[in-house]
Amino acid sequence: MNSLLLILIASVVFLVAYVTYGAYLAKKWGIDPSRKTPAHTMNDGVDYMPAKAPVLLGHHFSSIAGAGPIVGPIGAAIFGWVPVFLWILIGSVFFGGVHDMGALFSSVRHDGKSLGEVIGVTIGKNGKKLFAIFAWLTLLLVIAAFTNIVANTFVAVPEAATASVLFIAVAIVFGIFVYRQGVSLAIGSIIGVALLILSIYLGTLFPLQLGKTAWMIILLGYIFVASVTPVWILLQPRDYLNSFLLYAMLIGGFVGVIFMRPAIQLAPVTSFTVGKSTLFPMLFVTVACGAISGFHSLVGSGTTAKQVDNEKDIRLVGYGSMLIEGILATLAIITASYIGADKFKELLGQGGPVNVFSSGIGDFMTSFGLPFATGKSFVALAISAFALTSLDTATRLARFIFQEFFDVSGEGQPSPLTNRYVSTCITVVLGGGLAFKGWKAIWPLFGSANQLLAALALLALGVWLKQSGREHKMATIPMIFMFAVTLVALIQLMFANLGNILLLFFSVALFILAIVLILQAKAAFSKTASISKK
Amino acid sequence: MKEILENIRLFFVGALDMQGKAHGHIENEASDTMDQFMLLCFGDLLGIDLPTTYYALELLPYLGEDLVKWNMRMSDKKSIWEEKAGKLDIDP
Repeated sequence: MNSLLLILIASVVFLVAYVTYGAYLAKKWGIDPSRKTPAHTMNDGVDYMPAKAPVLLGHHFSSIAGAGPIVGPIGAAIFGWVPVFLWILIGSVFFGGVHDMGALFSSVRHDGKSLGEVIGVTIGKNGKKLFAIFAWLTLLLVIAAFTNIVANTFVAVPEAATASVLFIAVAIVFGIFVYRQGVSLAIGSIIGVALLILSIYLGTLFPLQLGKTAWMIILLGYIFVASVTPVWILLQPRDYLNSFLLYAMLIGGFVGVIFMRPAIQLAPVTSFTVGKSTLFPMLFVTVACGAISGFHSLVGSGTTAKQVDNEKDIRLVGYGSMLIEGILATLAIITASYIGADKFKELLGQGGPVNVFSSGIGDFMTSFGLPFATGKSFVALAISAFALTSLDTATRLARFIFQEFFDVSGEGQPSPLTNRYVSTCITVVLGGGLAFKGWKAIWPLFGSANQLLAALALLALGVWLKQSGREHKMATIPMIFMFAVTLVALIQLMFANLGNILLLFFSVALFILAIVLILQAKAAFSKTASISKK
Repeated sequence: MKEILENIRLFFVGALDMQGKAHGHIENEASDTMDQFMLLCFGDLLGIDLPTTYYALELLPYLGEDLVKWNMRMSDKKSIWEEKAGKLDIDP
């Protein structure tokens, strides 16, 4: 079977779903094109301002695209490509798409407020606290998982390690020249991109070979420094230069697949049990970001909801962007399944999912003349760069949550826990300690936490829909499935991690929080008080 | 057909958003810092007893234009970390 068929099937399924199920959701939820959105009613020219639908779609998709939809499907390919592909399709259409569109819609109807506010209104203060705790735990798991994954990548592809180190230097120099010295963005970009290409070339000449532990420590030190420095030094220039890398990689990957048309060689289904993992529930928590991800609601209700021009755009931006992310996840599963099982296991064992993905895309890009080693190094650099920026932002955000949680302003001396360096140190030490356990052990925990975050968003959506007299089953049924999957996964993980205090702590903590969340859901749905239809 | 191509172009304008990616974080931080400065100067208008408000009145001609919108933004602030989450584009 040819892999292009997978992209075609995914595209057709998503198009049909968008036209039918997306329209059904819009109709049942009462999306009203004649109603003014907060972008108009609260226009402040800064955060609240309308943006055209395709522009907003591009911006929102750009925000939600990350390394998650790549790592998850490749990690889950141990069960065979068919279950992963089916979950990407079904998950994106009935779970992730509903979640993203619903989070965006509920935020628009609550004056563009963040999801936490919607949760506060629909579920109550306990819901808000749960949201903060879930978000913090998930961010720690992001730090742990991605630090491990990037370290593995640097060990397997030392050319990318050199290029990444040089990239940091290029970013700092770019920041100084463009943001401090006033060099124009265009000239700075041309020089920046040229230096990036040079970094990739120098990486192939001087690969930096270090052990995994050394890389982990270096990366944790980098995360600490990067997250406390002002944004103009590293975060901003990296984020900007990353976008060149990412889109070059995506375009190269898709064009390469179309030119090469690789055949699928991996077994369609391997076994229900592989090693210590069972297909249910592990498939569903491993392919998190590619099917349903709680983080999307943070992004959607954060900036996107404030820029929706007309309510009719919500289907395109919320539902549509999740479906496009499904196509990205499909590309990831292709890189895992066009090679045979032996090669897949070898690449996965050597350097994790990024090694599989970079080898695949590197191979696809040889179809239009790019040498394999250069292509692989470039893709590994792109994903690592993306992961490193996610690590920086995740550490910052985890620090903000931590600081806000322990803020006791007005009651005397501020707690030392709210100090920027102390809170970052605690975050990095906890995340880092977990990182040493290995991405295979952490990723299901991260997936579970992410699904629970999504379940909380679906709960808020379901409660609001019910209280305002709207059809809510399209939100509550996926929510119940998320609870079922994550509870079973966490029980399995608790037993699997009995010998490991840190992993056991996270498994138990998430399990307890999931039970608390279910009790909140029960209480919220039992409430008889209704909010008049908004 | 023209409309479809124009929409695809606009999609890439939004996805790439080079200006936003080049300056977004800095602009957000600068805007937050300015709001905090305004809070120090005119916190009295939000009901916070600050002696600086009396002395900051002479800055009113320079800062007054944004005063109403600043008031709206400060009243809307509920959770700092959630606002940061939206602006930092956190999604792994």
